[in-house]
Amino acid sequence: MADMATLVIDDLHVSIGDKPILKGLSLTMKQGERHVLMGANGSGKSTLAYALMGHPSYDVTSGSVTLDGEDLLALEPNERAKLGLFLAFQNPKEIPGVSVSNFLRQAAQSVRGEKISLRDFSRSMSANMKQLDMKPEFARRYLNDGFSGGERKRCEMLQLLTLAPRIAILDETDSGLDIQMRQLVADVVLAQHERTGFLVVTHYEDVVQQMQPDYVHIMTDGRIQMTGGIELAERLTAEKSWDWVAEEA
Amino acid sequence: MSSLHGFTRDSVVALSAALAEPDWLLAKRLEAFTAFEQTPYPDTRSDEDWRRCDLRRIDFDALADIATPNGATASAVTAADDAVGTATFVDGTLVGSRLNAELAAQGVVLTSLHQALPSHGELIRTHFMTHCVQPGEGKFTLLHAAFFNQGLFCYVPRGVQVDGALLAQVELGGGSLLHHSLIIVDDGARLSLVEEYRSAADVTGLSVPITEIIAGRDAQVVYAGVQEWGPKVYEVGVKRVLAGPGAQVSLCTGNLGGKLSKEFIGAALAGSGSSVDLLGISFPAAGQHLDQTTVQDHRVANCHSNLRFLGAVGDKGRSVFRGVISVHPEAQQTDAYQKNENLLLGDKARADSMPVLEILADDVKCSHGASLSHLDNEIVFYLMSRGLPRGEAQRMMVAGFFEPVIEQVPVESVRARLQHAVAQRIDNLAASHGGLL
Repeated sequence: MADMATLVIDDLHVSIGDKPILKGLSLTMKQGERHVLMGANGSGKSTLAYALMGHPSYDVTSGSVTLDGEDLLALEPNERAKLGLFLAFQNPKEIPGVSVSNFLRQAAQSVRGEKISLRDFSRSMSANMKQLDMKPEFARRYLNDGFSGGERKRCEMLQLLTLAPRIAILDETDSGLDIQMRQLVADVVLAQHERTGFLVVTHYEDVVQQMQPDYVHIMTDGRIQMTGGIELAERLTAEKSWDWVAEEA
Repeated sequence: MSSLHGFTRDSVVALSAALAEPDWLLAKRLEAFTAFEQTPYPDTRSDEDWRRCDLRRIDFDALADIATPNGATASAVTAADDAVGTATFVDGTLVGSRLNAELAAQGVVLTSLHQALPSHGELIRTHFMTHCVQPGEGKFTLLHAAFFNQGLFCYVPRGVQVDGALLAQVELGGGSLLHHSLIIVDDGARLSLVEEYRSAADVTGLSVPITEIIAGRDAQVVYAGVQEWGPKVYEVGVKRVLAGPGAQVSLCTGNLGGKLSKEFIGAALAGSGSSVDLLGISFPAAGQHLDQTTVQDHRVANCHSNLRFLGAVGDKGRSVFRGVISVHPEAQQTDAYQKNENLLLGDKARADSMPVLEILADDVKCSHGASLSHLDNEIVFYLMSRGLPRGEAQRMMVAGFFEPVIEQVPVESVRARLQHAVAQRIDNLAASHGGLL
């Protein structure tokens, strides 16, 4: 791809209320790369995800984030989406009364900044749903309303396929899923990896193995402490603790 | 517009003459007028039905110009062409109507009460304000019975199925409009009908409408009444269905416009095995007071009623809901449900919700629930993260709020009308708040 988008996070500090969570996190990633982010609960992985997307409760106190040189932090969440950023939520909200298809079409039109005919949209939606092994009725259901955990995650993946972002953050999209569903998430990442840069937050080594990431980052206490390859994930599984990270970082 | 001024006996006589009414109808008006004069306006301090409704805001004398037929035309009103029949009323006069020829051949009637008198006089005499809504129920039903204009008459004969929806449009140009709708769906017949009430934004007026729906044995009726008065119209109205044995009725009301509106919406389940869905949406914006009292009146055994009223309230808007479930002693095996949900859009939006259960039978299933909520900022963020600007995210949520009720309306064209009406309200509200709700 000619113009690979680059996301640059530089010395990012983020607080929730008075509590600092991210304490100088830096990370650079390009469209087409697969990054895995692992870390203990409470280390700030989800905070990073939300802060990047622009959640109003997450206060960026210093540092910068740019996407292709553009200051992401100055933008509203929808403007970030339009630039090509996507966040797959860990616990997506229920929105009764808004159907999956209606929502997705409006989202796609907003992100692309143009009208999409119902026919074109239905065609691509059907193809995407097929890829995710979803039944057609799903499109008519209210967004996340009464969805099982697996259906919610599938729906997040459907949104990812529909919006075709340049940079996608998957915030523990695989949590609470069985091994088959985790494989499905990994398949989406593999199928999309040429046009999307992925930052995948996960606790599962099997997911890491399936995705074959370019980088694995280990995070503790609001910073990335270690960056390497797949061997870091393997070591985590073997050690069954985070203590060695602090010792070796 | 030619009109009569004042709610007086002379006006009653002149109106009846202008409408060339038979003697029995004039007598009925006069009887109601006598009782009207003897009945005080409701006491908004002591009468529970009226407690939150400040009638002092209505200048009845100033608004008492009653329109009479004057050759008005339908030029201002464009009838929707997806309906299988339409009737358009301007200031109480039928100015145009059309009905699918096949339906007309089967005896379906869609016209004004007065035009139907020569051919369906007995039917009208039997059902007009006799057993569904009665003149003596209160001050405003008496006012209506004395001064009603040329209203809608719709009749579907026994066993006739009306596919597609009929549409009645009611327009108010000023003064008082007492629009009556008498809708009779005979045994085994089926009907879908939409009534739309509209006025221009600068029109000051008083509307005292009554809709009576008589559903015969095993009749199937879908009715939607969409009230979109301009901001200077006051309304006190009644919409009621009388459900015969085995009748299935869906009565949906959109209460959207007006300065002050008090609506009594009810179902009388008078035939065993009847089933009524009462669906309601309301959407008061700043300065609007929309007040609804509903009654699920279970008179006989083995009936089912299900009420769901949704209200979004704009900042400085006010919504009042009072929902009565009344189960008579003989109405065993009653199933009756009631749910009122309100979405407050602003710190100064206010919604009151009061359920009232009067259950005199012992073998019944009844429940009620009410809720108040605000737009959830987490959902706004979620939608924005998918590219929707804040205002669009909010609009999607408000439109979605109404959808669970709209989707229960069993006729596609009726759903589309309600969705359109809601979208317009959202547009208006957003326009006055810089695109945000």
